[in-house]
Amino acid sequence: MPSVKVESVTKRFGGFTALEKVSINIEDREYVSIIGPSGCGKTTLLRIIAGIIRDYEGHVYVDGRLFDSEPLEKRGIGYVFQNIALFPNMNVGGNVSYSPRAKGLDKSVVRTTTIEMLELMKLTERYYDYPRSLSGGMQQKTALARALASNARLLLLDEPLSLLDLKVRTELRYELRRIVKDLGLTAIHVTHDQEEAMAISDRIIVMRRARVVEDGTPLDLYLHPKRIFTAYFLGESNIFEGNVAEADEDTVSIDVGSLLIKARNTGFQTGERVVAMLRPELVELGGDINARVLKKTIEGLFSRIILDVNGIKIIIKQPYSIVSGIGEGSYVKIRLPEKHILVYKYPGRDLYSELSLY
Amino acid sequence: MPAVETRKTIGLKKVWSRIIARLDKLSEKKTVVYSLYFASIIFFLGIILLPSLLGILLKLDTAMSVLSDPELLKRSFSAIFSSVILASIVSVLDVVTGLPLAWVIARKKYRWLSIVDSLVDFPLIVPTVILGYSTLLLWCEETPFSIIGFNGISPGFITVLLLHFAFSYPVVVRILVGKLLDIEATYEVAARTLGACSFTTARTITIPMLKSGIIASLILSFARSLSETGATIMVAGSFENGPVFIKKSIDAGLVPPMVFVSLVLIVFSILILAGLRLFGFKLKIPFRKSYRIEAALSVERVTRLRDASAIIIFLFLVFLPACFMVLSRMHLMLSSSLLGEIFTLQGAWFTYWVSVLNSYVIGFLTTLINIVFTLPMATIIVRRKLGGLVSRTLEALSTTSIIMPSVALGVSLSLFWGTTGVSDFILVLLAHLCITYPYMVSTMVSVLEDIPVELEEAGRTLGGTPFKVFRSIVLPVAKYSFLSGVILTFTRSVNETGATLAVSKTFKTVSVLLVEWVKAPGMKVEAGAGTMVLMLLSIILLVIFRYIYTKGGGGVA
Repeated sequence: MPSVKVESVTKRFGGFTALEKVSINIEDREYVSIIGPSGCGKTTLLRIIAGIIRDYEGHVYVDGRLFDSEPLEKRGIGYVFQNIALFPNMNVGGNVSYSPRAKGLDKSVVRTTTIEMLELMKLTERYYDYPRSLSGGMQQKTALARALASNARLLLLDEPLSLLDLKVRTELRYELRRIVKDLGLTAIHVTHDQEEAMAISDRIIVMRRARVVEDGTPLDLYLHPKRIFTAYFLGESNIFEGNVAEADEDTVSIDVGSLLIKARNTGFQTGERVVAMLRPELVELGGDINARVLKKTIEGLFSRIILDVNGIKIIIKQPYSIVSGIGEGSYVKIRLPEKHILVYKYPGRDLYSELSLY
Repeated sequence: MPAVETRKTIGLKKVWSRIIARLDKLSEKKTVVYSLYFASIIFFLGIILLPSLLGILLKLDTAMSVLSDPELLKRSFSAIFSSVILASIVSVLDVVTGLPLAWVIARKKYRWLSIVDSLVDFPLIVPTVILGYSTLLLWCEETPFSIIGFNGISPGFITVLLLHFAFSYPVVVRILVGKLLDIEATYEVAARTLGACSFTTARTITIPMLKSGIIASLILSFARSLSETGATIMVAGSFENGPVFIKKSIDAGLVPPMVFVSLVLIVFSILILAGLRLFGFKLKIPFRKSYRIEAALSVERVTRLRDASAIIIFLFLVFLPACFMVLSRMHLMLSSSLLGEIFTLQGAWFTYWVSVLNSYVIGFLTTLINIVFTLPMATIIVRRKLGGLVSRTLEALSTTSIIMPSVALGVSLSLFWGTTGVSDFILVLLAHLCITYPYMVSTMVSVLEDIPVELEEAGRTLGGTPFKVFRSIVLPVAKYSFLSGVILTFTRSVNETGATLAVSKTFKTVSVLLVEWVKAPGMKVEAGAGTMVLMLLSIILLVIFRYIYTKGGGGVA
């Protein structure tokens, strides 16, 4: 069963380093997303695993077998492309049956596999349609059926949903996960959409500038990111720079200018320069900090409110009904809960370059 | 001084931008656009189609005399049959051997490939008649392969085949490279990840997507083989195809066989080409499964062998014949004081340079006029501006002159224009327009076909006038194809011999002059040197042209 191990892979395109000593491990039947800003090397990594890129340093193992010199067509990998890449000269049936045919399987096997995959993707009625007459979502479903019909146990998805409408994208997202889980496949899904990655994956690998930043379950990465970059890149966050004003065994007080923030001490000394992070959803209403409402917008059932606390901006997110009475210009009281505030050592260079995407 | 110069260039720029602005404005007016369409149709009918056919049609009654002469009829039909067989073999060979080379050029990433890429254009530069003579020397008279025991063959079917293969091969490779570059590599990668080996991928994905290019290649090489006259005669020996037979009968003062054979060839070719267009696009390569042999053919050792043989075939059967005459005369040229004479315009060399100038003026005018008139024509054809039927008819007709034997075309043109008393210069220009028109139209058509209408419309909604959209969107997008169309037209004009000889006695292009030199007893060295100089000039011109096009092209003035 396919587990994937990438060992210290480096890839350079001329003077540009796309991957720098990247190592990752993916378990059998795991759904892993690789996420990062454009140009971080995530697609290159996927193409190396697939065997599309062959000249690199380091090693790729699938199922414990060294794959570096395995030809592309023998890898047994299902690859789904961002631009879908359905063969325009074949209809849906022709596309889906491509792999069994290319592998020289029996006519009856070709037929049953094709029908099975089309049924799985609910595309049976589209058998004779050509790709250009399908909607974007249907096209990508066909491409998925085509990849699955190759009997691949490892699915590589290169931003498969990024060219689709939002509505179709969210629907297809869950379907993708359901199918991968039902069939017991291993999936590596590259995306730049953090919401998609959070919704779909067992585990997320965050990449930036040719390296892996960190990995973890979606919730772990959201609530307890080990790196400030992850906090910044995944979802929204309030980030404060400051110095530790007071530190004892349990708590630290951080002076962030006109505000003193209390957090649990995870090993900081008085006077140390730090960065504190708090998710907007975790800011509580009704504390002792006075804040003025600068701007209020609606995101689904939530309201996103930008507050001003003595010149410091704090974003909060609260259920719409709870903050319905609060308008722009009015005042609210908030609390920054100690247990949810994460404190990081101030980055070696400076915060700005630590957070920069490229 | 420099100050004056800059002022001058600024002045030029100003004039240029004013012209562009004026054209932009004009292109917005419906009446202007439609009169342009109208003018391009008039040009096509009046300058290209009618004169090429009418000269022959006027003498239609004489063709009947062939029918009543069984001996002549038999010879005519055997010539027509030979032509068709030859053209079929040539076009199939071209595609079968040209596709691997095009593949290497378009898909592989070796550094030396750019050299091969430019070498492919090289045979286009060589006047076809010189290529014929060179072929004769290489395979028959002065074969260098005698060191390996090959003592040459006598001129005949095989030499004609080799010649036709050599001159149509570069065009085919050009077309196929252009089309291959347009096919996204993702499709091939997708097929590979689905378990298809590279050969199966080519058979099931790339070649079906390449179909229009392959059909265009077949049509062009077929037509070119059917119509070439000057060089074919040189290497034909006793072999007789349509054009050779026509030329022989004209030399004997007989017009009826020309009319008869030309007509039959034209009708026959139109049928074949229409068939190719109609059924070729519907033809599908069946894909039920992949075969063991395909996997064996995809092994790296085999693909390397294939790439190597493609390059070897090109070098020995196309490139070597193209430059063999120059190579074999090189020692004579270098040992004599020839080089000095060439550049001091002594003796015959003055005539030579005049003829070079003639050729370039004609080539330049031909290309320019053709661009101006084929572009609206291609728009009518591709965008169905005047309805489907008109468009389709025009498309079919526009390639007619490509299949006429060039001698027959020349004779027809001189019959048509001969009575009007126009100068030889104009006659030659008209002949070259007729000959190159189909190339330009088909290039323009494929250029426009590859550009989605949406792209143009997007440009228009953003406020671009039609002319501006063409300059800033269509041209840059279709650069490669457009460039090869222009090169094709220009070189074809410079190399043309058969029709030029037929229409003009006094006005000599460089190809015509070189043919005279080749035939003259004491001019063998000069002929070689003249060809070499012409080749060098053409290479320089090609390089300059490419440079201007890649650096300066595409910008919005």
